[in-house]
Amino acid sequence: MGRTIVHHNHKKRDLFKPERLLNSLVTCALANRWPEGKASDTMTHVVRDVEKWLEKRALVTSKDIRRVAAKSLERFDKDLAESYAMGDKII
Amino acid sequence: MDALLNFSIVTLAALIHASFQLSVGCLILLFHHSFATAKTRARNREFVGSYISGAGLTIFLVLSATCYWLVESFGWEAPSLLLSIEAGLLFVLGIILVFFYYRGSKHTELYLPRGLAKFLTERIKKTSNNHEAFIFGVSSVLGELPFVIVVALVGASGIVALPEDLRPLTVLLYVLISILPLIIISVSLGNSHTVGSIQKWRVRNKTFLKIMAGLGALVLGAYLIVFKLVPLIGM
Repeated sequence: MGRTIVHHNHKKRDLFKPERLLNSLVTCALANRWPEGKASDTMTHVVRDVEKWLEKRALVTSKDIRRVAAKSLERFDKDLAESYAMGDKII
Repeated sequence: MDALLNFSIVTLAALIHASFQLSVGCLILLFHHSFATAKTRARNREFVGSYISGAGLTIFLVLSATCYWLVESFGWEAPSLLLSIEAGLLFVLGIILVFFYYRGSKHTELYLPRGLAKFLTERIKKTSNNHEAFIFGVSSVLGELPFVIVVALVGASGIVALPEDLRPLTVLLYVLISILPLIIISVSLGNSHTVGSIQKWRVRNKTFLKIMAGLGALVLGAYLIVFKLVPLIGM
């Protein structure tokens, strides 16, 4: 774990950082009025799902990660999953 | 009658301005991040208040500067050449708003240069105090300046043609109408709505919004030609 490379755009590459994903998921949950404790507990599960998905992948894009996280989030809250999926397409 | 005509032109220009989506999208992003960083509701309200003040002040300055430029360049009565240019720009704006304003169909991503959109998104994530929120409100208006300047030009030419005592009030009315969506969204988000529900509403009604904005610009262009340009050149 921690060796998967993420393409953010054509130029920038980065190592996958679970805490960064957790932070973005919790921010989205708080924006949708989730209590802080519930948000961090639930999002830890989602991050674990994403990490599991990443196990056999060496190179992914940040869009892939957002899509997989949104899919995992659907189990907990469909509206929040939808909100997270379109989070980078507001402007 | 002339005052009423000019007043209606300013109001319609302000309504078209209110339909621009960059400031609205930025406000939603600001809410998205400030819910996590501001911690308290009062702090959140301060952020949003600063953002709206920044946007409102920029619109006020752009409109006032345009009024000043018009009076300095053409005097108090708009010449037919200026009216023709305004009408032409409004037709172009109407077509852009209907056909090219949004990217894709399942979200509200705008046809902004991606570098600018990325810059704004990164700025929002780093907004941690009221000054930054204010500057961010300024940037959100300046980001759409090519569109804003067209409606500001039409609004300004309506304002300078009004009687002197009505001008300051009409400038304020224009600013108030153009920031009205920001106020409505902040009030909704401050009460029971969530960022997700507002964003979903925007996606669902995107087609309606863009058609109304585009048609508004086309109608205002035709209005200028019929009620101002034609009587001026005496056709």
